Amino acid sequence: MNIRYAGLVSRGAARVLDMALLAVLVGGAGWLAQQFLGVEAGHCAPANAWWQVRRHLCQFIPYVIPLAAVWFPALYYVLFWTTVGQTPGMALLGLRLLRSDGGKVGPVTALKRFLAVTLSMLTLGVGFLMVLVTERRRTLHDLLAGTVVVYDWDAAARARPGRTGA
Amino acid sequence: MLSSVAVSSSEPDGSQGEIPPRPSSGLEARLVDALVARLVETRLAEALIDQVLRALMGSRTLEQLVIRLLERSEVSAAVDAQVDRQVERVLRALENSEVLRQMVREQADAYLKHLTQHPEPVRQLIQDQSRGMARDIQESVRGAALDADDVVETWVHGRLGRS
Repeated sequence: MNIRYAGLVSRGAARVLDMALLAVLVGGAGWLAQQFLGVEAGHCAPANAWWQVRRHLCQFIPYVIPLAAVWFPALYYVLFWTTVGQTPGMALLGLRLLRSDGGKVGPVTALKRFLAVTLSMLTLGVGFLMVLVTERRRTLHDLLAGTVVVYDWDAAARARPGRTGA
Repeated sequence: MLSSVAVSSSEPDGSQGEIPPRPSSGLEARLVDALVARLVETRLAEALIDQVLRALMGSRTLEQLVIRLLERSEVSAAVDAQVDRQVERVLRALENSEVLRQMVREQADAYLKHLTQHPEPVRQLIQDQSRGMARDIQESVRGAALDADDVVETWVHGRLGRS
């Protein structure tokens, strides 16, 4: 079977979709937490005899939300990459993450890749644009984590030849 | 009346002559009429008419004749006008037909009853259709993204002077 490596547009579209989904999930979780903990206009609701615990939890919100904003995406990407090999955005675009030797991605590789994505962002996107010039269409985070992104559907059957591998 | 038809024939010297109709008695005419009426009623006549009609339907000559007739604009126009008139008449009759309305109502009721009793095939049909639509959209998104990947890459390689 011919493997075709995914290009910039497919990967970019998948990332945008994932980011939108993450924003909805994080926002929704934050809203639910605030409702549950009784946050009103940025302040915790006054405690009563029955809800002392809730008041104490509410005081942690300013610390928990920024932490969740970091950990939640990490959990999201690492879980999806290691379990099904693709995030929902990648699934829609028909992409799959593999190790560079073609094997399934493990949790360590997935975590390494997630952290390397941050590095690609810090290079003002140059790390992502590397997909246009590297062998096997790899980004900076792919090179650092030892991964590749391939089309998971019969893209090889399409007329235009992309960069393929055996 | 068959008995009183004038018959044209050739004379022995070759000249055309008219044989005057034989004077028929009222009894003879009535007898012939009765015979013809009887003949038409019999199975034999039915079979004969059937055979004639069959021969006409199967006849290439008749077919050719009809085609040639229809090719003539005045005949074609007349046929069209006649068909239109008849169709209009039938449609108007159907529109005002209480029997038809009743029939449609009964059929619709029967279909609705059947659908409420067996909703699974309909649900399956709708699900399949939705799934098919989603698959089509997904395929078109993937195809467009793949094409865009190649276009962008080709453009960048062109700018960089790479093959």
